[in-house]
Amino acid sequence: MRATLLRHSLSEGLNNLVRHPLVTLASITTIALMLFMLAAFSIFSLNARQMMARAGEQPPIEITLDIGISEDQIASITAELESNTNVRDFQIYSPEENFETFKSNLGQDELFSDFSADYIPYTYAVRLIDPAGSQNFKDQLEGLNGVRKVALEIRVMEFLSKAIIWVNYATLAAFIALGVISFFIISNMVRVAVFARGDEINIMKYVGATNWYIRIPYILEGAFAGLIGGGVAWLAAYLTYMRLFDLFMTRTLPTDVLAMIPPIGIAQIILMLNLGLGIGVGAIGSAVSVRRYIKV
Amino acid sequence: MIEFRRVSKTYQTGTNALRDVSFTIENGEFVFIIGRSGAGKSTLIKLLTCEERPSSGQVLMDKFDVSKIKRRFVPFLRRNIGMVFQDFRLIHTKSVFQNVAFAMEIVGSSTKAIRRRVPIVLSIVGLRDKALDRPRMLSGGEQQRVAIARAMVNNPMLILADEPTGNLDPTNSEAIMALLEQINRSGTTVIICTHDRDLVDRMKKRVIEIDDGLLVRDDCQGSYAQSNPVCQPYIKPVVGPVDEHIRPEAVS
Ligand SMILES: Nc1ncnc2c1ncn2[C@@H]1O[C@H](COP(=O)(O)OP(=O)(O)O)[C@@H](O)[C@H]1O
Ligand SMILES: [Mg+2]
Repeated sequence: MRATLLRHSLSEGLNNLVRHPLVTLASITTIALMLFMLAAFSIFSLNARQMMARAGEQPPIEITLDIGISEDQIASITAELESNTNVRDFQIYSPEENFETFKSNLGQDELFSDFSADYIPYTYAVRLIDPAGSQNFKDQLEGLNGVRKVALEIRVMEFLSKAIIWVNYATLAAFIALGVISFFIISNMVRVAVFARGDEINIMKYVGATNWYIRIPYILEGAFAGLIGGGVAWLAAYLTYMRLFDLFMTRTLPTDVLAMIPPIGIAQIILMLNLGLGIGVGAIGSAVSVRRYIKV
Repeated sequence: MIEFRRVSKTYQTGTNALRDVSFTIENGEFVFIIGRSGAGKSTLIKLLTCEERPSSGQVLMDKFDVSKIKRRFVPFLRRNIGMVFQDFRLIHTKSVFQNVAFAMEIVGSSTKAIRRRVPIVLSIVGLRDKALDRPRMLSGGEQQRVAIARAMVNNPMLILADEPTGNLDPTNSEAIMALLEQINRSGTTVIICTHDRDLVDRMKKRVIEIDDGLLVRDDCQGSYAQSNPVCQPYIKPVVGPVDEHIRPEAVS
């Protein structure tokens, strides 16, 4: 009995798609368009995240302490860094060490022969776990006694963290807008299918078909359209990304902070996202419209 | 057993399609519902299938009030009822066999049961040779026989036919009636709406007449005219002029 129902629903659902090819094409195109945009945003977001994660691994934050600071104050700042949950690791540099670095950077030792390290501060190099929290970290640390300055050396990070937020908003907005459009297009597809087969549906009702028996083929039809749309969008997004990758990555090392994720690395997650959402939007869109148009 | 208890139906447009109609039909009966076009015959049938709900009164099938049945149980009520319509209502993209098989698929019969049962039913209606034809290739009478095969394939306790001969010539009408009578002899209750007087008179069956929503006559062994006092428990006095088609001279 279950097998008969499944066979009936699948064959009817597929038949519906073929029966009104233009309507089906419009539905699939809309879904594909929506999912392509979603895929584009997701790919950008994934890349931005990877760049941020890489940027976060460089020691980008330098804390400069007041000159002539007491051992106690240094200990309390160290303790503060140790207890901060967003600090991945840190390194303290004494004035002598900083002096040495400074001298070796300039390469002219004799110039500083009678210069004392007393005029050089202690510094920390800090790496954060979540670079998005770096502004917060800066404000927090600058509030401490003995801290003169916290330098966020990599501006890119700030840009990326803002960009990710905006990309997320844009993704959400585009997804909602396109989702609504897809939903209506799918609804319309189902409406056309239901009206075209009104007589048949009526006959089914007279014979005693349950609502689900009548509805499931239409819901499958929507899910199929979503599946195809998702597949098309994935292919388009993947090919586009491959071209972009080839274009931008010819002169960049894969280990560079700004290196893009290789296409293979995003293919699977985008495929799953597109197919899942395609099927979801298709099935839900038609389920809602079929509920509206088919009543016992 | 089917029982209408003081059933009235007023559509949203304000039309009183049925007014205070009461009657009883026993299991295994063969009953004609007659009346002019617009009298309320189809409405009466729709109340039995829950396509419409009465405005007041009760529609009982085996003591069960179908007018209060929940929406989602309506399909299961309909599985006990075979429906036949004036316009046949066949699916033209399916073969004769598939049209009948379809009714069994819907109720969840196995493919094996379908392959066994459908040819038997097509034999009963005399269309075994035409199993693979499309309905449009058949004559009206043959199409209606497909519809009857579909109505009886699930062994319903009741067959409702709304003007089944409305689109057929007299010969075909006769054949359809004979078929319905044959099905009735196996114990299935058959209710037929029609305004084909001659046919009803020849069949000598119980006749319930509706006029303008009122039950005006309930005759056993029925011609239109000769009412049998034994089986007219709910007869209401006929108000106004007697409709021309129930005058005695119309009886053949
Ligand atoms: N869905 C409906 N809405 C409003 N009025 C209706 C509806 N169906 C039938 N009617 C009216 O109810 C009356 C009875 O109709 P019906 O039962 O179809 O009569 P019959 O089958 O005897 O010709 C008619 O006046 C018809 O116009
Ligand atoms: Mg009618």
